[in-house]
Amino acid sequence: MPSSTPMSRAAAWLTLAVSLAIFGLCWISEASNTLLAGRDLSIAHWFAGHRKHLASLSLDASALTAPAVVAGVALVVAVLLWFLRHRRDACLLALATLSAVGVTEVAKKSSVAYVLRRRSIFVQKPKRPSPPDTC
Amino acid sequence: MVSTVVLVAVYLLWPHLTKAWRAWSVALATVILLGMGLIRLIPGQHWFSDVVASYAVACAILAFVALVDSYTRKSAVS
Repeated sequence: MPSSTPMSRAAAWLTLAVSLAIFGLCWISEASNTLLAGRDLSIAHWFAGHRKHLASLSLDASALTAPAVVAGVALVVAVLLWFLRHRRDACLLALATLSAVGVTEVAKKSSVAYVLRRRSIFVQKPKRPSPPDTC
Repeated sequence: MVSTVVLVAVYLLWPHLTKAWRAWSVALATVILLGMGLIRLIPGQHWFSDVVASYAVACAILAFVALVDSYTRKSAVS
């Protein structure tokens, strides 16, 4: 994978463009609640109906993968790589980690109100249609 | 974030791995990425579109790192 041929460079540019386009599409679809975001509610309801015992396990696992924990581990690995004379790899790992932290923080801060508003549906149980009247 | 670190780790390890280890690392990374998505979706922490957007950001950061690597390598050689 890591190479500096024109082909690999073009592939990297293409990946960057396609990824940003998908990210932009997700952003627009969330703002307008169409396309992919239009399916969000039905997918969330499906998971709500099937999670049972997995919910607490998933919460524990996601606590382990909190940004601070992941950034800490990545920076420790970068320091180790630096002292093992893989300085270039250490710099690239640190760059990727800092970029991810930056993007995560910006995304969180720019959409806190929006996320909180959307997240409020998880406080209530998904509404089911009322059973048909037997009378 | 985890997706980004996993993808970049595979990218950095790639030249040092044999063919078999490359296959294993891709398989492991796929399992971790899919698992991370499910971990966010199952307790209702994130929406499906949030997970897709986070994968897109991870791929974008990987491409950015690959470009930085590619351009700095060329300048280091020259």
